[in-house]
Amino acid sequence: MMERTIIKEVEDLNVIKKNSKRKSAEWAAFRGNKIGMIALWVLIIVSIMAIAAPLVAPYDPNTQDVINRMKSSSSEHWLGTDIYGRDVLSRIIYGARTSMLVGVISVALSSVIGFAIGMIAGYKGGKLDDILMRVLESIQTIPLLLLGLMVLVAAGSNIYTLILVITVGLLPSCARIARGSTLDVKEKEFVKAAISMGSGTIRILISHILPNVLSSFLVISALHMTSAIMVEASLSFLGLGIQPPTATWGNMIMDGFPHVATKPALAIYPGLALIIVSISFNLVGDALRDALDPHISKKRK
Amino acid sequence: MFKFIFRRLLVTLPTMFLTISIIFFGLRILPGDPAVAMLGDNATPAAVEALREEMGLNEPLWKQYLAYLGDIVQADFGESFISGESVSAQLFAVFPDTLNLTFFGIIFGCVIGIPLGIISALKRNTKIDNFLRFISIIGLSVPPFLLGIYMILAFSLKMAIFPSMGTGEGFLNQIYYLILPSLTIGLILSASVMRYTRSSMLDEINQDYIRTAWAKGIPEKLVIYKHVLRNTLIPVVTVIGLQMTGLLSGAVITESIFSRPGLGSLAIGAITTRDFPVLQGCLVLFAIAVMVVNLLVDISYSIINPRIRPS
Amino acid sequence: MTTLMEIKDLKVGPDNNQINSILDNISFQVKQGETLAVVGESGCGKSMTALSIMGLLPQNIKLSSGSIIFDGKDLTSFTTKKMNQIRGKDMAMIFQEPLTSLNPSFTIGNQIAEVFKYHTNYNAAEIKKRSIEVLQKVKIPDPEEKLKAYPHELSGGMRQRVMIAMALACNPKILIADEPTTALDVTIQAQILDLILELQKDFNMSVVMITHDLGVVAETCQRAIVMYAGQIVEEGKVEDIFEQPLHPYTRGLMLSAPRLGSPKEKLHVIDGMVPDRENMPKGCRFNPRCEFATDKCFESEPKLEEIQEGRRVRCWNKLL
Repeated sequence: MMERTIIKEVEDLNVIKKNSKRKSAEWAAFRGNKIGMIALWVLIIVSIMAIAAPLVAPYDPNTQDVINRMKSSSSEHWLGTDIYGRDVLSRIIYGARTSMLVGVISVALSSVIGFAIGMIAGYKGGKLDDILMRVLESIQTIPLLLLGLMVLVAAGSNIYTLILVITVGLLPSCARIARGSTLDVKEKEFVKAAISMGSGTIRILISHILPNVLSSFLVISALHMTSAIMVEASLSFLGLGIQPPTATWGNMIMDGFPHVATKPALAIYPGLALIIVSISFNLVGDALRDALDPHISKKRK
Repeated sequence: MFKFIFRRLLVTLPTMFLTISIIFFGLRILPGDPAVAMLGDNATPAAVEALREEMGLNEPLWKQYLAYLGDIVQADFGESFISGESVSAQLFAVFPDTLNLTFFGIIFGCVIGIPLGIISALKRNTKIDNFLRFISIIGLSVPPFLLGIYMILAFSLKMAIFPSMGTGEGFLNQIYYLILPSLTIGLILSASVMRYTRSSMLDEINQDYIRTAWAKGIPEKLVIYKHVLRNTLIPVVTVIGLQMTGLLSGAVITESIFSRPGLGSLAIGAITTRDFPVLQGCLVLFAIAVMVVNLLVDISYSIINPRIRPS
Repeated sequence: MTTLMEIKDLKVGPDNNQINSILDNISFQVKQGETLAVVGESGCGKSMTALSIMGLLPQNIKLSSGSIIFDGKDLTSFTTKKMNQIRGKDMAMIFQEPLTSLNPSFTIGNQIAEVFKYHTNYNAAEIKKRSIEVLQKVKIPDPEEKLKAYPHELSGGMRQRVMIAMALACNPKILIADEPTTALDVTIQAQILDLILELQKDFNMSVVMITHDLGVVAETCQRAIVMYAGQIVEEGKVEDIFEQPLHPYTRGLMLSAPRLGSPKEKLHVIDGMVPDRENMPKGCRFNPRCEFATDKCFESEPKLEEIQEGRRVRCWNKLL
């Protein structure tokens, strides 16, 4: 028994050692991906601008100026003004705040809850697994946008319902991925050893399974940021997300759409902001996957 | 074969039941009263109470649930709160429009996505490949409503090639009106089809049996287009099934941007008028459509893939 | 015996790194109607040699110098199109993994028919007739039925027979068999080997048998080439090599093979592993594992010397 404990300790140590060595290699691999790094910097800059919006934005986003409405770009208003004479650039910067906030919260919630569900389902298996997976599968068959529409109508349009809807929509894929990785890891020798040693479920989940699903957690979170931001914008575009006058990219596009023939800039600029941020999240997610994927890193060696 | 379809149906039915239940309970456990939502915040308590009674909201939850299930089995989604028309009739009247849009969207998605994916895989790690992969990332990052607006801007307003709204008269004209909206959905779908085709093809090229095909000395074109492509396309069919929910969501919003009739327009119209039964009917029909498509995908998958075909 | 194929100074390496080549200075001949064994541990370049001959090297690996003369023509100068006229017709190959070497999406008949379609002028009926004939030749029961079967409906041994049938469909002059029995059950192994030998006689073709199994070599081959770390280290008649190996590596291989009837002593083990391509030892490539290594072996690389007709060895301290 004594001997076994020692073997196990060494094994644990090996895992930890490998992890710390791996981490620096992975970070190096990520840094080596130029496009991924550029995208990461874009996101960092956008985040800083969103947080520091009151300092960065040239105007108050909600101050109306009827005389100067629908102006083109000028030295005073870099991206022009909207139908109420509000500064478009300032509204885009404030809009980043909403999009990022909704995105980060709903992705964090869905990833944490989804991974917990997936890990438990994968580890426990059996009936529990069947039931959880069937429920999540069912949620996945309901188009997220429509589910959002319905819930927002029933429960009222506000930021909390919006976050709830997006969280529920993103949950199933998180759970599925966590479940898949858990099933893989569960078959590994060190987990079997820990089980045979009588470690408890929670201990095994946290100390053995979690470190091994962490990389998919990161990748899926980055990719889900794109989905969250896109859904938020779509719902806001339909007038069901964040309500005016709070600026979001979605409702800015909604305001600009009726004037798209005469003043396309009103729909184009917030749309571009949305696309740039979505692309960046996708690129960061892809770069993360390349850096963390054991198959690819093996090839790299 | 029939056994397989039957077994697959047996799996689908519980999921369908579950989805329908989730829609029901999801809407009931939420804070907020549908009656208030329909009448607006300024409604008198008496009016709200009357509507609750009419909608059966005062019944115990399980009774409401059973009534709801019974209605769905009979394809009865109640009456529109606004027009008083049967919801089912409205749904089935516009359903074909949404199906057409989605169908053409899938066609565009495959016609654009599959060849680009093949090129990308054959020219892997070249400039062409990198360029195509970047384009596909853009495709994955643009929400359909935004692409729709940009398409209208470019092709309707600037170039004036395609109409920006409506459905047109007569068969050819209708297709003409369909091009821009279905291209919107198709372009977005093509991004994931392309990525999937590429990675599936790269997997395939390295298979042992492709080496065998080369060793037989059959022409390069035949190796690629017969041996590689056949097995590449099998998983691509599944990806279209997986994308179905996204596709229908895209169809919803695309319809509203291009002012086309369809389930999406119906649903969005129902939102503005707070027409709860219509909205619920749309949601249930969408969920059923998604499941039926997935079922069809699975069946066609088993037809084109002899490995899982039961003998 | 006339020479059917002559390989001269073949050098193969990754696209971007020609210094650490995978195959180095490979030269040998294949004679008409003989069975030549290519022996060595996994990773020594046996399969790469086979793939170079067939022109089937993976995309990122290129042939950087040397020539492959087959039937008087240099294959290294051939385009894909020209190679395709020879592959499957004059030279054919069978692979290690019968389970994955047939395309799962097409029937056996379809996959055999391809060979005829591109190398003969047969019409559909003739193709079918010939397909049944080749399946009969490889002793597949019920050949007409089997044409309609998909690969997953056949066992591993049957699939390897189909592979052989496909390879022999056009009476090739040379057959390259890359570990054709490794993935099969022991009883099936013998059947497949017998089949290959039998067909070899029928067709009077040459066979290059790539294997790590010395039992296979002893049973089936006349001459053998021993490879180590991308080089040929010894060549000779199979009896000579078995009776008196000249290279310490060959000797190690012989000692590490279990022999029937010998006392149950511990099997010989060659310590260490095949060196990494990027860290080739200086001097003789085998020096870290060689029990006979002297200073000279660490300083300069030995050449492949011909010590008698058809007997070559690459070693400073030949075991004479």
